[in-house]
Amino acid sequence: MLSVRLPIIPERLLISDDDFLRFRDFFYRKTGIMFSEGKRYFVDKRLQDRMIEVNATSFREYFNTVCFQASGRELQLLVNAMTVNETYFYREEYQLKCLSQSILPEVTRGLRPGDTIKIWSMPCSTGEEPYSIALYLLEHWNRVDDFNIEIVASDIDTEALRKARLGVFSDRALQYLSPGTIEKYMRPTAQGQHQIIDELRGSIKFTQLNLMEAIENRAYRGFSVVFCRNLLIYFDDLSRREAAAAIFAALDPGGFVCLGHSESMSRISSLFEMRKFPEAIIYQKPAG
Amino acid sequence: MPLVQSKLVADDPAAPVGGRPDLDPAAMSTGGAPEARVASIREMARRGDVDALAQHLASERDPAAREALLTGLARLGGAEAARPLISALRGDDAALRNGAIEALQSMGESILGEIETLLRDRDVDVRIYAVNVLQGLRSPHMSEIARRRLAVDADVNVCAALVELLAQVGGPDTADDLQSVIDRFPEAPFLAFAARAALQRIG
Amino acid sequence: MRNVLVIDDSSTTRLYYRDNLARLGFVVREAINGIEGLELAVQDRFDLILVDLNMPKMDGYTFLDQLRRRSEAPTAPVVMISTLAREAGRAKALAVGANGYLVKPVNPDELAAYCRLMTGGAPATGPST
Repeated sequence: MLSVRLPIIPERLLISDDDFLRFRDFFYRKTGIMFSEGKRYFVDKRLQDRMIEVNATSFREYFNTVCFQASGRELQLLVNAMTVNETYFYREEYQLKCLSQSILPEVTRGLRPGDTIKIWSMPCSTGEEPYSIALYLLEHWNRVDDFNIEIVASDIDTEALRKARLGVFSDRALQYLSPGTIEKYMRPTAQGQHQIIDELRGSIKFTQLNLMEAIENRAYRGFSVVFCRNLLIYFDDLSRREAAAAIFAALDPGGFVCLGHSESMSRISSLFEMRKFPEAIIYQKPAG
Repeated sequence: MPLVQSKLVADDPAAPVGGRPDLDPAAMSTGGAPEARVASIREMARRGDVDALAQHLASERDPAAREALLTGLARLGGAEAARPLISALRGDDAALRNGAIEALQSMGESILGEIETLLRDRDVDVRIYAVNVLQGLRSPHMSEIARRRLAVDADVNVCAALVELLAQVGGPDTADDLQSVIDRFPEAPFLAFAARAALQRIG
Repeated sequence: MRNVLVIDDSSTTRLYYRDNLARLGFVVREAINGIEGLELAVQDRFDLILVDLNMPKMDGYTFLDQLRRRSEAPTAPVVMISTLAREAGRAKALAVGANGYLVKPVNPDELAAYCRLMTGGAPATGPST
């Protein structure tokens, strides 16, 4: 017989309805992420985990720490705990669809065949995103052969970059790809995984970079599209604005930036213009 | 294959340190391209040149350059950097005003004294902006400062803003202050609503 | 069913409008600043938009100006709301295309009257009292 030990939450760490609402408003203001009532268990559990971790004696005490700690470290840890960090191919596919059906057609309006289009994936993590962009365009964009597409993929984490360059992925990461796509662009490895074919791996430029440094670096300019998904939610307000300014500088006039599903440029910066496409709302650097 | 590897050279030995764009000292005065002005502004911020940043804040119209001025001052922090931002609160340019409020909000405890002074300003709107800034500051003193002001401010909108702040950070000890403000403004349904919502929230 | 969009950075103010307007049978959506308001306004049809003048990221005037310029946004009536000290803004608000102007703090009766007026009379369906 299996005996299951259920975690016992001390009464002092229970979170009242009002506490939840107060926390929810605060978190929303900080990150733009709004928790519905249905996420109550999810939120309570993570709050309690943190409270136990820092030996808080009550929710109020813990909440004060999150709000007022000068370093902002506990807020950071809390945000990490509250955000789900899954990465896989074709995540938020509607944006890739928007890329091929709306964004690139507009970007290429004034271009001639053979011209270069630069796309930046930052942060690229272990490579799922830049490879997804490449595969999606190769498979779905009807003008993919007309232009030279340069994909630059950057991350601050060197270990993630190492894995990205290697391009080896599990079935789980590939679950949203068609078998045909996998067969065409990947080869099986001895360990039962899949590796992106050499030609494709070699065509993506992986670089190590802290986004805040990009604004100083002339190398990161002239992009038509930047994917900056699920990075800015981890920043404080001031850093977020600076990051948005860095993305702005990296884009060509008329260039586009795609953020994560729960992120909105409206909370971050007023530098960009909102563009409504059938597939998504995307933000654009004014053509100027 | 249409994908080609970017020739981007992240660590270009020929580029200046950190690949920093060449600075044009005349960019600001000759009205150079916005990108050049942004680079100059970032250099001013790096040097901690608050006077230069302040001087350009009033006249700069390009959004990216203005943003660089605002975030530059916010990063520097302190009373000196806050001064031009506070001046912007009194102006007619709504975008600049709002940008200044946000910049001040990021400056934390370093400007608490300035904000407390601003809460006593003659201009009702300036007092409301001060409450907005206070709401964004990360300070354990927020609640106390807000309560002190709530007890004496004569304007219903300023009090409403203070009540909202207390709804977020006030503890049970603010209950009396909230009840008092309801009594002080019997003709203000919104304020009563806000105070009651705050009372419920703080528990 | 009348749809109202409320744009204000104060959560208490939004709640106040929501409470009052729901009682009148309006369906209320909220946005915390002009950019977010613009996102909602171009995606859904609204019978009325209430927008605060002073908001971060994009203030009320800019919101209205941008809204009027977009072809995909239906021309919903927009009421601008401001504090008394900036009453001089009334003329400016009307100049950028506001249909009405209210001064804070807004009295529930005034809000109700204004909303009915802007949406052409009492809503067709309302909660039973």
